[in-house]
Amino acid sequence: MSIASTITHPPEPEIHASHDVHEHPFYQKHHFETAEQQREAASFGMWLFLLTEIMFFGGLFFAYLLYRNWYYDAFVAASNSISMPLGLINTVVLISSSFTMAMGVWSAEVRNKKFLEWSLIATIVLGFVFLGIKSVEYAQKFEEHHVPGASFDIRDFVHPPADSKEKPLTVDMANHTQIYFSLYFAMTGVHALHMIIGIAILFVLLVKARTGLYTTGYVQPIENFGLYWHFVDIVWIFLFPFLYLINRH
Amino acid sequence: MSEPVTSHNLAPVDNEQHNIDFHDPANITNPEHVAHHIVSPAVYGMIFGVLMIGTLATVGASMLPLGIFNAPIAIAIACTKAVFVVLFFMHVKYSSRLVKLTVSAGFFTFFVLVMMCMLDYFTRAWGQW
Amino acid sequence: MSTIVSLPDQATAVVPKKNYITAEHGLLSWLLTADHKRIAMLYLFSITFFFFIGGFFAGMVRLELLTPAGDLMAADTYNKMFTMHGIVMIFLFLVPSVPATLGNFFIPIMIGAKDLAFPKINLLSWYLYMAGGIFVLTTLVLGGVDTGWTFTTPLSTHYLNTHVVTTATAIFIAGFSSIFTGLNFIVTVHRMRAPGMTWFRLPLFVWSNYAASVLMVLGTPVLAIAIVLVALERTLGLGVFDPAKGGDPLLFQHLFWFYSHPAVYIMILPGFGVISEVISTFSRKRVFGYTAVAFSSVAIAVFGFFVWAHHMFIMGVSNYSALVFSLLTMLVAVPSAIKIFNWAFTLQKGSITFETPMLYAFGFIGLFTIGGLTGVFLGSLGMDVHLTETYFIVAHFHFVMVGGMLMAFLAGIHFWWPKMTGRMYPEGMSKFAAVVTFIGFILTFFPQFIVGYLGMPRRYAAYPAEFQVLNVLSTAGATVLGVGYMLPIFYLAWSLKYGAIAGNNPWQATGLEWQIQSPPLTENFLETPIVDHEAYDYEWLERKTQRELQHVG
Repeated sequence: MSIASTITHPPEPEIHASHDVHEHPFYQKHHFETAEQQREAASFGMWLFLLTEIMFFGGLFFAYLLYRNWYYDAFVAASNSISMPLGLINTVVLISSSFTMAMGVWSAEVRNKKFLEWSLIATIVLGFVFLGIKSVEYAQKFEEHHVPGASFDIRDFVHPPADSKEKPLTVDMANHTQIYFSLYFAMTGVHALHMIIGIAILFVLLVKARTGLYTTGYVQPIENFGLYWHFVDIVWIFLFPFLYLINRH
Repeated sequence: MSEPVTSHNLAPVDNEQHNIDFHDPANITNPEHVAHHIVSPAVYGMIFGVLMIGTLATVGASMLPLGIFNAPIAIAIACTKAVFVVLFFMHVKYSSRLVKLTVSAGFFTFFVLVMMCMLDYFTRAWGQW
Repeated sequence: MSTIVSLPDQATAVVPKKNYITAEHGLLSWLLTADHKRIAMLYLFSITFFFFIGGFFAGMVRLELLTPAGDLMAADTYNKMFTMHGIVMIFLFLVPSVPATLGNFFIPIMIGAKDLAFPKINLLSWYLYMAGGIFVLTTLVLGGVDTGWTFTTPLSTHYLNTHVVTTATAIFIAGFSSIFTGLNFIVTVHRMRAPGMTWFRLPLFVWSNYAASVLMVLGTPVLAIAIVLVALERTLGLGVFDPAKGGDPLLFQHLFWFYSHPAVYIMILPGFGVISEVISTFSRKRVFGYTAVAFSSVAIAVFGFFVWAHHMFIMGVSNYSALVFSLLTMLVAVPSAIKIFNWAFTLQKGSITFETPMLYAFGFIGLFTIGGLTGVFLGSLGMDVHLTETYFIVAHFHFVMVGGMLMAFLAGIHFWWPKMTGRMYPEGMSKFAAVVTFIGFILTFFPQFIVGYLGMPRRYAAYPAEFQVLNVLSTAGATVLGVGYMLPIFYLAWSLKYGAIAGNNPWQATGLEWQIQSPPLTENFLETPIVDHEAYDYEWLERKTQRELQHVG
């Protein structure tokens, strides 16, 4: 076989069709053939990222599943020591923020700039409310010495106050409440971190939305952020019953 | 199969040397041609209502002494709420098969993690052979 | 010796003036590039750098093991040597090796696209990789970490004062680099194939990288949460793995190995893809059983998630689950074996020539088979109890990772070097280096099987005197191996300026990447290619070449 390829340069191209005719929208990047392809790719990419989040939180949820089974009494006592009303309010707040975010996606799709701005603002506000309530809860736990570490105090569990319905735990089981609180802080902490990042991105989206960028047909950033925000909501939908409602009777 | 017209370009061209995009139904940009469906605020509102009801239900159920059923019921309510968020807020009901498959793959892998780990923990107490 | 290399007339040929390297000038044009080919080159330089750092640690380990006594360094220091060797080699070399260099460069071209789906995220991946690498270097400078690359709890959470958190941060960041690369590949392969490029016309290199990408996306986050929890336990006292609080240290291992077993498939699958391309090209024959090879990549990815506890057989998992995992481990070997058989049948009745990539591919087939078979021994519970935590394991994974993956990486670099740079390397030198590497490898790692079977534990600086001869052989081999790895640095760098001009298709290979100029243009293709032929269609290539000759001549 001695076919020598003599073509070392591509010949000067006669056709520049795909470069001459710029009919594609301003937001379409050049490596995509159509705007629809770009939108599909971006959406698919965001879903793949959410898959990584499912597996990331998944490890924590498995740890929870394991230790709740092993130390049910400790988990019950510890769960009853955190504020269910605050958790309930936070759940309502977060689901509402999902609703406002969905409305934001809708308003971008129907190209309503004002409504998009208000939806994003509402989502941000609800996000801050959630984080505010969370910090109140964390502060409560710090005061009660329920944060795992050197200052952890098992007295509340070994000798519950006379007016509570809690039954006293053995010292061993009371120590195991530290596992509950470790998971509580790890899970809600990682969740809160995701919310903080989400709110930061929301600010950026809001600023850009005000310039009208997302009401020209370029919906995908709002849409894809919406996917992220809803996912963070779904994590909380599971965290609420698992952490707050183990045994409230 | 059809040969390209020129030897050194890979795309077919017409008489005026314009690039004729070859529509191959087997692949390219959107094989399922999923039309873009805009979900209405009314649907979002209804789902929001469903989620609120679910939240109250889960609080209520936790206050009832249902023995070993408390946990499965809590999980079931949470899963139902999550399914509504995924299908409607996240538009999966109106998305391509690829997206639906991707979501399923994610949850499936999570279940593999849980089930195979539980395989160890569940059987530890079973003692020696 | 016959060769299929066909180069343009060297008297008149030049490297094309307009290509992705000359498109822009200046350091910033490289550091802020969105071009997948430039990013691939950035990765190539960085992983080569980290490879030699990892190699330095390997050298230290082998030097210590020349003598039975732990006399070269303190035992803790020795622990740091093998730990850093493992961390650097796995996370900073093996995991990104083929995907981030060859995958980044060639996947868009192989499918007929102008770039990956998310070019900026691709660049971000490289910066995350560099950040992870810098954190590892920081750990090194601060004094190293000595937990072993496996970070086993409670050693890593409670009983050490070394820089576990810094290393955990490094791996966390590098993990995201891996996730984003995988994400990019998956979206690209699904949504950016050229017209006519159906799934079953894709080169098998794409299939393998796709399967590895699925593993990257689904597996890496579990490692991330495992090391985050270790870091939280060390810094904040959260006690998820702490037995004193009721935690189970084995939970860490479950989460760690849930990633780290698929990680070995992340590392090897792209290598399988390279071997498919090389074997086909240098036997002038389509890969035997294309569909089987394609599906076996996916099967490895899926099954790979079900076997992780075979790394934990002696750690305290229940006997029943150990049994199940052992059975599943036997099953996961099957798809890999299918590939080896298919490559063997590709070779059968092919027109085989022995260019350098093919030498590395032959080395791969032999060494990976040995490594893989020993993996099956280790999968069987009874044998594992005897062999685990000995040098048998060390030999096993070095056979598959170094004899397998690293050889595949070198095969790929040598195969695609002419396309990436427009230059040929000196064939005599490259063949010599391949042979030196092969000999050095066998000398280094085969004695380790024996010494492991005889009972020498891994991760020990001191060992009984009766093992010394085999250890000396192993260290001697490591020196030879080091020479074999240094040589390509020199001749590949030399080739950039003085190598023969490669032309479009020096290997007469099929695949879209060989139909464009070497080095490629920034946009890869002048027009979107229309694909009307199957993968590895040598008749199509023959007809096309004839047509070109007629037109030009």
